[in-house]
Amino acid sequence: MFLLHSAGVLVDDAVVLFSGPSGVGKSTIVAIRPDGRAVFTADQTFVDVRSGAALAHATPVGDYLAEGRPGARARLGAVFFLEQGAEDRIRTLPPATASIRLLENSLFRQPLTREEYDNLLDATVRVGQTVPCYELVFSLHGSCWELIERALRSSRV
Amino acid sequence: VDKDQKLRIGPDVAFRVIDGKAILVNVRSNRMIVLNETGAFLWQRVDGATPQDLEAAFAEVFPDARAAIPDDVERFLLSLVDHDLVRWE
Repeated sequence: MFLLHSAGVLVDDAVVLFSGPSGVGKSTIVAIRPDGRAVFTADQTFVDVRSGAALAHATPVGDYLAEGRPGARARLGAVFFLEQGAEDRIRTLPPATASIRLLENSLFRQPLTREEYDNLLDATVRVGQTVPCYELVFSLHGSCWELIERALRSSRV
Repeated sequence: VDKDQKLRIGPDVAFRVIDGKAILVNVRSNRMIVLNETGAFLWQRVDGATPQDLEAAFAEVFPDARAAIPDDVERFLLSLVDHDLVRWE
């Protein structure tokens, strides 16, 4: 299990995560979500894979705005890595790139031991291979949620 | 570079190879490096190998690049040593 710097929104029975460093727009994406989508986590989400299924776990950290109870968990449906840009676009990430992005955006106390790093690498690689991951470049002017919903439909989240 | 000297992956290096790419983390410095498929090819053979072994392995797969291989491999290995990812035995 690892802690991903991410905000989560519930889409049907799955959690969709928006990940990236502070200031990239996680809160913005969540704030402009379509009606009826609940906030699962606001800033940090525990992620793991059990029996081949990836799960997202709500945390109490920085999540005073989230509607998901601390400790709540749900299937992890997709991860979007955010970048700000002039126009909205999206691309599917291959598993290797997804794993690298997961690793780059994981949060941990330092220094990790060798064993802890091995576990982190294993977990990020497993999630990168199991969960559809995307790069989402978004502007504040566009309708990025249309792209998000389209990607989710195509990956059947 | 001594072409017959063996190299060893450093004790503080955690790594995984996925889809042909290698993700290397120096646990002590907390630095991550990602190798492309060519780099990953060499990385997967570096532990216990000499520069000469690696040049030969490389030349077998990329015979057309034979002339450029020694310099290329040397540069790559020195970079790995510089990042404390491998050490001379």
